[in-house]
Amino acid sequence: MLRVVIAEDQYLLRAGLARLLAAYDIETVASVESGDDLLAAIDEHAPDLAIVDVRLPPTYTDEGLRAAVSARSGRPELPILVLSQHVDALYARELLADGRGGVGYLLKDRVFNDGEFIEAIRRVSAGGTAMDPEVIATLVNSTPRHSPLIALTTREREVLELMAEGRSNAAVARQLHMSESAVSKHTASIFDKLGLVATDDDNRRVLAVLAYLGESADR
Amino acid sequence: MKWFNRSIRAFYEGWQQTFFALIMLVPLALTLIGMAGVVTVVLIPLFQAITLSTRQLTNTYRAALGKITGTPIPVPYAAAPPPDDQQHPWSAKSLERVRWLFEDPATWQDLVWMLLNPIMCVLTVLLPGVLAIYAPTVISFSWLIHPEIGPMFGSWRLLDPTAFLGNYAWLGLPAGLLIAAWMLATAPNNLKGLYAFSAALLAPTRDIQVSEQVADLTNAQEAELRRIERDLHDGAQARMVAVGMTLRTVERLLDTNPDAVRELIVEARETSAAALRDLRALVRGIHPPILAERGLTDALRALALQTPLAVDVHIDLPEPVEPPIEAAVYFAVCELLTNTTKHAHAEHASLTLRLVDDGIIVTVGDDGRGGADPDLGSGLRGIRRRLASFNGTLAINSPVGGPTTAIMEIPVATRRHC
Repeated sequence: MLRVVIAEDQYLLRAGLARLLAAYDIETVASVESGDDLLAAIDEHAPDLAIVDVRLPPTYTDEGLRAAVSARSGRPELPILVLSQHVDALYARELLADGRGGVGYLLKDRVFNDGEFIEAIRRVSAGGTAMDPEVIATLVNSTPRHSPLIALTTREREVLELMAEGRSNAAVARQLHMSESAVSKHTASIFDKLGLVATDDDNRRVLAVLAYLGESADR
Repeated sequence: MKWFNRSIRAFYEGWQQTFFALIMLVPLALTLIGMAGVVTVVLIPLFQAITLSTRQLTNTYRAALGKITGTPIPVPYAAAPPPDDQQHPWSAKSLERVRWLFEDPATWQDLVWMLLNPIMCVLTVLLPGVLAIYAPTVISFSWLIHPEIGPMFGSWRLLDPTAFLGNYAWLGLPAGLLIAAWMLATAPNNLKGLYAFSAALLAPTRDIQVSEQVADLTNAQEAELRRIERDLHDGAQARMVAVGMTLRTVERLLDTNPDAVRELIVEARETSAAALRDLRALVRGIHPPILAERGLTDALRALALQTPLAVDVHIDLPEPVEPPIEAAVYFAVCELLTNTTKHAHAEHASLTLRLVDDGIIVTVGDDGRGGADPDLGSGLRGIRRRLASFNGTLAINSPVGGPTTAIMEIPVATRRHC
């Protein structure tokens, strides 16, 4: 059974999240309201995953995000899922900066689609990645005109975006109603066009794509 | 008794004079009234006509100067009272117009400018120009021939200016060249100084600027609130009403039609997600969350990250500035980068922010095709308005063919100075 710590300052969201998780057999071992409490709770409970709101008291700036990053510097293997009312590519880049998996960054509204949300939780706690589609869209849309991304076909672009969200080949195939081998073919073509080294490991592949998107948006 | 008769007669004659003098007061009054009539009928309309047509000329000059320097000079005149439809120069409305012209400090500033500008032109352009020709020719070489012609000023001759140096007259050669070089070297700065002088006199006075800023701010705030109200009303609010209605229907169908209920719940969920999207977009437009969470530096970096261009970012802001200024700078940079993306056909853009002694200087540049007109486009005007409420300015240099540079300067009181 998955054990999680929740850091969220709004009672309704905190309670609702715990209830939703309970319905999917995920245990909330602690729910806290501030960044400092989060670090204490992680030390105390050694959870499988921390779910963190970006904005927490007392300053209501990016305390949650900073607490998450500092928790991971202490426990590099700790999976973290960051939730927010808005998503920004800059934060995504900071969360992904250490190049390890086990990171999720989603809009709070994604909770509405509980199936996908729970899937994202399981993926992140297993060391995978879950990036919000809005982040991916920002990154893809902000690549310069001359970028190799332009060379991708519409289908390849769809595959790329779903892959960048952190989904496995099987999940991408399900979503786009195609066979898994077709997805593999597309990913191979994408990696070729972008000049990335292909790998079979889903997670490393995702991180490579995200790093590529992040860099090309930056250059 | 003779002296007595003479005195009486004198009084009598004096009375006749007095009577006549009193009578003559009437034509005097009539003449004065007539003259006043002529003054009002002729001079008042003349004054109005001359002042108003002068303003057209100065406004043309303002626009031209704004184009040259890249910083538009706002028209400083106070708003006109309603026009005089009766055309009587002595009507109350006409007098009100005269007072409007008289009491507007801009009228007097224009007069001062018209008086001083030619003097400044002579000092900064004409004299240096004449000297730049006179020095390398006459001063440099007159000692070779010592022409004994030309006007004298005391013992100094215009066409042989080095004669008084006697045996050292050849010094005129280096001196003349030096003076010419000096005049040529200082010409561009002199011209800039002339522009600055004109711009300072032709721009609105502080009082007018402040009152216009207040009016602009009030209008902008009003428009902003109206937009927010409309967005909420048509967006999130309407969607939440729909969610409420759907849930009410769900309640009623719960026992009888579970299939319909399932569909309705999905619908309610999707509508509330759409409401959230609306709210998120609205919040971004009011105050971007990243600005609240991270401050200006990171918010600008995030903006650059979202721009589909290679943006070179150099931000040097060791201490935070006031939140309203942060927001103004953020939205201005957002607008400028959007313009670059949409219109400039650029490959690279740059964004720099520097903190100087009395303010911050933000530069947004690109290597695109240029030709951006600062007077066109509501976006640029909006930036100007927003910056103006902090006494900030936006200058755009965008020759056709590029590159384009937009420079914003905003005075800030950082904590060092407090």
